[in-house]
Amino acid sequence: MTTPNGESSAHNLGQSRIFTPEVIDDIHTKSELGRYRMRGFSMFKPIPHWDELMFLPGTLTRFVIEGYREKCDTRTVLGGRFAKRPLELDIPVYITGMSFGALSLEAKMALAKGASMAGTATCSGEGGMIPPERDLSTKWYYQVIQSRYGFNPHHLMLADGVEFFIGQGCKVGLGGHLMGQKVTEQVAEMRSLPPGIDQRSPARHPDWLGPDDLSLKIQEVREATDYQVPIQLKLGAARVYDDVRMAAKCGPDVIYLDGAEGGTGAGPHIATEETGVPLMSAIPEARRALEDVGLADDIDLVVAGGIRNGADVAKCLALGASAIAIGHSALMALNCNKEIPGVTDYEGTIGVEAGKCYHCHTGRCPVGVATQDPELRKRLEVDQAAERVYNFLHTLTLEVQMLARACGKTDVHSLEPEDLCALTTEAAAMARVPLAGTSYVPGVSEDRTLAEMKELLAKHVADTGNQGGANV
Amino acid sequence: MEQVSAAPQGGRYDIRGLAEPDATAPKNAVVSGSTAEFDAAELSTRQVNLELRRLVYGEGVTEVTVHNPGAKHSLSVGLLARCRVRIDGSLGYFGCGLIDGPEIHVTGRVGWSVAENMMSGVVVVDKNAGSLTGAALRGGDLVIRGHVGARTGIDQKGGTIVVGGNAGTLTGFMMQRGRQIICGDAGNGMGDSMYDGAIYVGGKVASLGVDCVEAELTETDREFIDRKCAIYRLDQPATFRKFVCGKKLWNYDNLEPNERKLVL
Amino acid sequence: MCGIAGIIHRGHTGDVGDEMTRMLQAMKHRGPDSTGYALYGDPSELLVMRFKLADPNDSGDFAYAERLARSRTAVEQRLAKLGAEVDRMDGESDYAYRATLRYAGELKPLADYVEDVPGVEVLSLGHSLEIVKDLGDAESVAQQYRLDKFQGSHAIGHVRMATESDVDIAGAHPYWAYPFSDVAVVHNGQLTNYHRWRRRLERLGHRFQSECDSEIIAVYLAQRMSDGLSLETAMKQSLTDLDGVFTYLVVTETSLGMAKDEMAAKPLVLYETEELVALASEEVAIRSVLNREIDTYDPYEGEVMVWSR
Repeated sequence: MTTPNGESSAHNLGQSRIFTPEVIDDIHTKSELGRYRMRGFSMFKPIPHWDELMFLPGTLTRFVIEGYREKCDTRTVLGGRFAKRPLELDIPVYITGMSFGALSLEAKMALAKGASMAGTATCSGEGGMIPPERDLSTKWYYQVIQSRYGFNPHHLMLADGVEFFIGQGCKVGLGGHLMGQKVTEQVAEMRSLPPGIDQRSPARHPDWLGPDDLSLKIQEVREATDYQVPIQLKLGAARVYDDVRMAAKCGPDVIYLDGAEGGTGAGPHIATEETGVPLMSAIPEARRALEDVGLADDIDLVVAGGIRNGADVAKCLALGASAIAIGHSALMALNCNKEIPGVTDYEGTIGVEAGKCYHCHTGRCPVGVATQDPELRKRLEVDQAAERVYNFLHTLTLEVQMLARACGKTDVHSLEPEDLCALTTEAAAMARVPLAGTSYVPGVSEDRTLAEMKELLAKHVADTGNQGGANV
Repeated sequence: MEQVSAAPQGGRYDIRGLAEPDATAPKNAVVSGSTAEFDAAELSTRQVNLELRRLVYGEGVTEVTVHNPGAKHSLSVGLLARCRVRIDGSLGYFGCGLIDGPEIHVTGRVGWSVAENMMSGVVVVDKNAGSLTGAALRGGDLVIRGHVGARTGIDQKGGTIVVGGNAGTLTGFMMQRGRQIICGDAGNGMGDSMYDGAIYVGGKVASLGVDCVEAELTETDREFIDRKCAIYRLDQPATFRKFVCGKKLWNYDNLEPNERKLVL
Repeated sequence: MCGIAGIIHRGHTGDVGDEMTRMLQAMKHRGPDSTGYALYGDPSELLVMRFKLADPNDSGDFAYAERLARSRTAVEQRLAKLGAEVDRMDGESDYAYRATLRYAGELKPLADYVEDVPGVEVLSLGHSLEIVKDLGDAESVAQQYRLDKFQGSHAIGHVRMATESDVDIAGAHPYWAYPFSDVAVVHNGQLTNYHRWRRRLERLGHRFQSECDSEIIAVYLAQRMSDGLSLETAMKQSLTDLDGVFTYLVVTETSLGMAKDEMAAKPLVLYETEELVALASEEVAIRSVLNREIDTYDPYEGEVMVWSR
């Protein structure tokens, strides 16, 4: 007998499912090291994911839109609530904040240029503004992050959007990390730090300590930027319903939710695996929260975390996101985890084959993306890399349009949860869409039935009460 | 995503009363040459800032006096020009934040996070300050003649913070650069996790935070303290002690054995 | 997350209803969801009970009025059954009532029996304490409950931005220290060992009216005081017993106290003279009652202070 994964299901001596050889190795490493293990990349353990949702396109009941020919709008506007200049993107996807420091200058420039070619935005990330990135970006978010490394009010005035970084999905509740190997003279100077130190950014902001103060901090930044650009709050997805209600009350234009699948350039392995909730479960909770505070039509929702293809993007839009931010997959468009014949040697230099590399934190990125090493950086040619970023963003958009048109939409923002079904009960419960082939939404169906019963009971009690019957 | 007109719920209506996207400058200042003054008693935060900016950026005024600020929040923020501002009274939270260049004199007290992220310039507060004073300060001089609350100069990245009175807990928390002169006493956990910079304390220190150590006060330090106290006419105590980073936390994440050979 | 305020007149009484309204209205931006007051009038022989029959969120369907009338009758019957003679009973809205009672018995059975009526919650019980709380900002609550003429020695108040519990009266501050007479608390912050303390206090026989962590502080302090500790000692002990970040104000029949935890992450500004002490999350609130140049300061971490009227 074998399990679906091909493992033997017999309970053999010497084959523990709990203390596997990997677990034993992990304990050996930690007991030698005396600290938690650091790593880069996204999530390793399996969690319910977008693959468990499917689209329900039109056949006879719905008029489908001619693929490749007929209009399917992708224009996306963010932050029209209070901002005089809402952020207008040509496509519903943009590139999220990743710091100069974690990434090389070339990587930041290529992302900025590629995003601009696709008519969309990029974001400064933690380490402050680098002028070449700003020059190459037509739409640019500036991050107000806990550490405030390099934060400069003059740069703030150059932003098309301001993002308050409050948490990230991959390590909710923690600050950023940058290992000493990547804290070069230039990176250190931008962050006002001594070079070569291991940098642990704060988990809280320096100038506000709770949502009551955050309201005032948002007011301050709005005053400083003259209400010109949207204010966006980026939250790691965890206690989503309460967090989003609270965030909405603090008065932002946009709320950004980062699912647990989100990646990092460096983070403690245990935190990246064990904090947060899957994005699929976070979006419906966030929509419910915005509806409950009466701001569902006013505050835009941006989501991110583990987005790989146009189907993932389309599913996020369907569940209620206005825009989707990508990080890791954009790095892959830059060549992350790609063996380049004659140039890279993943096995020889990193110790793992291409496709399995998670060593961003060491600063030894073989393709020149997550490194500050001058020799490695030469491996990333900005113009070519920008072209690949553009191609990837363009393809994501084509894929979203394809699925939207098949569902009969002339605008990708017309996708709705009712266009989806789930393959597993877990996915159905989290995404709040019916299990394929049924009308069953776990949790929702039961609540609906209970509410009907309560209503019938209340009517019955009222009726018998009026007749002077049962004493309640 | 379309904007809706000011409905009682949602849209551009802000239940907290903090967002004023459509306000205009009140133009109530009395201007005489390069100086001006105006009364903020009946004005909102937005109107005060619009009036300040109109005068400094638009009218070429270089000295402004604001009367009756009434401890309102986010006043005098984001000023990026050389000018003199006199605040005749007290400020609330985030007063004089995100500025570069101005010389600001507050005759009353200030709330939390005064002069946060100041790039350059001078902010002098005659009375007490709340917590998070000079958070992420990057340059310039921030002088509080009275007492300050907790976390003074948290994430400080440059510049100088001078406190005439006492400071609360976690003074210089995660400080990266710059200097602090505390003439009175400092609370628990001073200098916790500081990366660099120096804290001079004239009074007692309740306790030091993680990786903060005492260092020898040099002639240069002494001269620096004397100079700052003289400029701002502060009575200084007879002696100061100097505290700096112990550098034990600088490298906590040494590489794993199999990663070490990658870097070498 | 919230704004809190307190005021105590020393040796005389003042317009605490109007003063607290102005203080809370000045901090509306810290908590637009609900507003609450704990006011101390002249101590009376009579017991004052503030209670609600339903929540303003409850749907006003056709059965609503009828249900309220039934509940009110049930409350009156139950009071009579326990020997509490109603002096007068006024309704400030169709769901909120103030009753004065002649009653000398234990408060706990009275509160428990009254609250056993579905939807009914006793907001406060005491000889001078009156807790008023409702949805909306301070001005609308003060108008609804006619608080502008309220004379007294001291008061605390709260504006709330709901965090983990719902926007309703049960989630609004101040909290009465059930079942102890005349003790109430407002709190800014959050307690992260709330559930532990709740289970511990429930084992001692207390029950809670809300899911709000702040309610714990009121009951905790009252329990410690009934164990024989002074208010100040009980407050000092709370600094080590309670985890999280918090600044709270507590009032008893004669005193007003403040406590700030070791993390000092929640603000409080203090103005203190021989005649008057005023405290608030923001100075702008104190300014609303003392509109002149005043000296204020922030209490430090781990500080506990108590003032008597």
